[in-house]
Amino acid sequence: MVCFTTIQFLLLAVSHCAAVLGKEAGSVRARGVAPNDLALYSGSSFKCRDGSLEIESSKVNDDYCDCEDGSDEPGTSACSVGKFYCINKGFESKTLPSSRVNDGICDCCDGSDEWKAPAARCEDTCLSEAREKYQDQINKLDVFRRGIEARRKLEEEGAKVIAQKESEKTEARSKMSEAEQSVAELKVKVEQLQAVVDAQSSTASNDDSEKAKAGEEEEEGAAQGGGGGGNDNTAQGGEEEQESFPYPKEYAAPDAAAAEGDEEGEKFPYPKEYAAPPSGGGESGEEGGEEQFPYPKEYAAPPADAGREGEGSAAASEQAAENEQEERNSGEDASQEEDTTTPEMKELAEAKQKLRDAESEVRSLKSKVEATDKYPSNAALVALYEKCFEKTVRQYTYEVCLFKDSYQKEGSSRTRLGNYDSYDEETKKMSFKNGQVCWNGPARSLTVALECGAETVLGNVDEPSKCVYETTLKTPVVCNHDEAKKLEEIVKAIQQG
Amino acid sequence: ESGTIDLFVMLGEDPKAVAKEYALLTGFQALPQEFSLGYHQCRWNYKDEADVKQVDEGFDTHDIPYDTLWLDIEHTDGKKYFTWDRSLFPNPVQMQEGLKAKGRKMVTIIDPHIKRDNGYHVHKDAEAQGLYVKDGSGSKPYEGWCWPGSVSYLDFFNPNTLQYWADKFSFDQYEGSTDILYTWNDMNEPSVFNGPEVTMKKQALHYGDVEHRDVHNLYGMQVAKGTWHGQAKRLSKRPFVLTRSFFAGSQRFGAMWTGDNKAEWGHLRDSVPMLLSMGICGFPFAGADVGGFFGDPNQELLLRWYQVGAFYPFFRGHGHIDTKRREPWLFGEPWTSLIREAIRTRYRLLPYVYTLFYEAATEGVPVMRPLYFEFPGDKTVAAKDDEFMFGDSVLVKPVVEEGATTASVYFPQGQWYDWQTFHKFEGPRTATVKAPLEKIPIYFRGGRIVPTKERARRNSLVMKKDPYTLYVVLDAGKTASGSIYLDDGESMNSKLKRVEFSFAKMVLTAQTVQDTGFEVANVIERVVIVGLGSTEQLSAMSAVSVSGGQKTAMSLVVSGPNRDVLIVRKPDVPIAGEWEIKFN
Repeated sequence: MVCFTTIQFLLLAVSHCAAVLGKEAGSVRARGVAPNDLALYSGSSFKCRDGSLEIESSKVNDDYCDCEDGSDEPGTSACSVGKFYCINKGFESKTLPSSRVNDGICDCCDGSDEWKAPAARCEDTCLSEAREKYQDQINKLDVFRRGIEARRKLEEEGAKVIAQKESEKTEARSKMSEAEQSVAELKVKVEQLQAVVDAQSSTASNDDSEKAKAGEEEEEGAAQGGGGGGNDNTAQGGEEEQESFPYPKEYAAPDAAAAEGDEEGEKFPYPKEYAAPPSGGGESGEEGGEEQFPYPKEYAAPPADAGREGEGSAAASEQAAENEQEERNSGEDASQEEDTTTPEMKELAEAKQKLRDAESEVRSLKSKVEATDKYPSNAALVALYEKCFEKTVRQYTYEVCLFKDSYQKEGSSRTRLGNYDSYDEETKKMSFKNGQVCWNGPARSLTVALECGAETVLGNVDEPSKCVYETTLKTPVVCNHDEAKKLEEIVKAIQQG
Repeated sequence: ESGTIDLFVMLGEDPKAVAKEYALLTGFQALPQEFSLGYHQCRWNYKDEADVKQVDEGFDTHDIPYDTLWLDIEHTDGKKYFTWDRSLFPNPVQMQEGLKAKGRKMVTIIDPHIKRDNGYHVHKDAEAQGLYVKDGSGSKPYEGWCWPGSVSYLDFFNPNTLQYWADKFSFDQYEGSTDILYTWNDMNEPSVFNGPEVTMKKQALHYGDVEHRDVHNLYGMQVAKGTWHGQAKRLSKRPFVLTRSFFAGSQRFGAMWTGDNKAEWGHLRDSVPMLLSMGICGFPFAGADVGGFFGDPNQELLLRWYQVGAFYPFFRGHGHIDTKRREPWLFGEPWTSLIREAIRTRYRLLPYVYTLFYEAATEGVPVMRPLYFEFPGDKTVAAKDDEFMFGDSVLVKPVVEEGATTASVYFPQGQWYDWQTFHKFEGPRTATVKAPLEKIPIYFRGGRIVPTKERARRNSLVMKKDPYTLYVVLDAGKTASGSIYLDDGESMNSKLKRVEFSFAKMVLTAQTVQDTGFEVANVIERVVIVGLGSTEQLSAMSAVSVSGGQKTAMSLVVSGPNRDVLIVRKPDVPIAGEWEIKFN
């Protein structure tokens, strides 16, 4: 529509081009040679481009490979390392491996790689390809222009978010020392009261209260690690550990090395029913001498036959384990019953409560102080922080929440493909790792490649290897001026022939 | 536990004579189509049409040749064979045409277990026509469990089943199949997930009330036989069937592979004795999954596997659905280039490989041979299985140790030449040779002439018109001989030509020894003569070709890293003709 006239212009430019190039391309010696290299092929002798040999010019393109680097046969298939240059007048020129020359398959749009075949074998498709590409570039440019516009708005939104967080940060900073002071004071107070209470109870020598204390300390430790904002290092470490082993931690191996070993099913020092993945027909293999069933669980034998555990039960137990894990992640909270039989104990309990409150205040302030640290430098991307996008592919709906997590949903079941791991500004790829572990496979993971689009839309989700997912997110966030300019130049170049 | 044992004793003066007797008894290797001797790319599973396209293009982008792309069980609709999952493969014909346009082929998997699904035509027919193996009672079909879930097994001992099965392959019955589509028969032991020893129970009844215990070992062969006949019926070309289960005689119906191996160095190493065994058991067309089926090979293992796999008679890369992608270009450099080189090595040798298969099909000899096959008098090689002869002219030393940079090679009696440097080894001796990652230790045997095609191409079909190179590798008496088998590479009853080459008394001679009218116009673009003399001697030489009474002066080039190889540059004599090249 708009570009109709420009296409006409393009056609004229092309025919002009053809006339100029036609003269040079005529001789056998120049066949398959890039225009810039023509001088090298015009002398009375030819020096292999790696300098290894000098031959008579009659041996250039004589269908026999003399040069080790293949440079004497740019126009034939004689050298397996040779290169053939298609001029492709009217469209982009191209360099092909010599294996394509005269193999009966049209590779250059001008058909020049099949120069032995009758002309009809390979039609010249350069003009139509140029038109397609031109239209394609125009469309892309349009997307970029709209994308850049949309990006501006997102940047404004993002800037507002950042400004808001920055002011919260300043405020939090100012309150921080006071809050920390009060934590310190409360800690001293709690210690003193504890000493008094301990003295009282040591006379009673009460095992139960010892146990209660131990439990309490553990509880506090857990609350500090996993309960808070979830963005400090300890918290992340804790989460990862939990996820790599999707069962209650008392079943986990005593140290990290052993925990990893359990994936291979060898070093795991506890009853095998606790080892991941949940056993299907296969587990019996190690002891029973029967081969482990090494295929995906949906192919395992049916229940109640030949002594194997059934497919159904294996699937169910895996599902159960996954559900359990999800539950555990979402709600980890246990309020502690305090013993308040003496006044000192009551006071201690109150002091502890105050300490917890104060500590939580510090954490909350800290998270406000650090809130902007986790933001990407791209302000437009901040506007999409923790925003979620969905795409339905066949029976699955995929949900990707940027900087947060990603799921594959089918009916009421949700499978976590991964938690946010990193975003690479260079490659514009966001990776989600440590998703739910696959049966016989790795922990699921997802890579989202961000590409320029007029609005933010999640693309098709692909699974090139088992449980390794890939998708694209079209979004204005990554539309940039430099690339738009490049596109403009390409379009202009096409227009000018 | 069943029947009597028939014992055959075959007497012969050497292993080759015995091999031929065995083939006369059980059948010769079916001559394969040439494409099936190229490289096969398989995975459980190439997921959909876009995936197929992407992998196919990947080979072209990286200039790596391959002939055949394979689809495993996930391509079907619910593991109902002869069907397509149309949500993943909506246009199988178009997909195959895309491959065909580049000269490539496709293989789909077709297993003998049939999903018990009343909407599935094969099941309905089998029930209605009584084509299934019966339960012990003889009244109802035997039921088991396999990929699709609940299944029954077609009784390939029933002639009606064989007939029915063969008809299933016709183009009008196997929807979405085209003339480039071939077949892979898996699970034909038969595999029954919930059966005793993961197979069919011994009381199951076959045609004629024969118990399964009596025919268990034959079942897999019958499946491949039915498939073979199905393909033969629909196409005048030679069938291609890959089978996992086999028996004495299965070589008449295609190729076998060694089943589900692991991505471990030990499995790479063991593939060599396994395939050597297949060769001496009269089933030369055999291979092991390159890369290992289970598990993820690291780059080095994958590379070494390609380097060895290039000499498997059947050369296919394959991997489990739970493994990471491992198409040859996915590991970056130097791996992509090194794997490309390994696969290209196979393609360069294709004329020789095809000739070896002709020999297998007519003489019963293996393609991949234990050393004792060629050197029966050498006691030191009697049990040697860590190196082998690829035909009678090429010695291959597989490198199967992680981190290896050298290899110890035993050279039997005679002269041996490194195929790249032409460095000479005088046997018998054991030598330690360099074997860095880029090196495949391969040696030409003195006294042999090996035909190759040196040009890189994207598959065997488009190599058809390319000119040949002859490696003339002389023995101590400066003589050599070899041959080439030529036909159209695909037809069931192709016209053919056989040409013998010999070098003696400074004359290289080509003589057509068998000719049923096959037309071939290819020429020889290069003759490489190894072991002829020193640089000085070679530099002083001249040569003329004599063809049809016409004499033509030859252009000679002294070449090779040590300048001790004489090349006849563009002799342009026909590959199939009567001619001489005389050296002075």
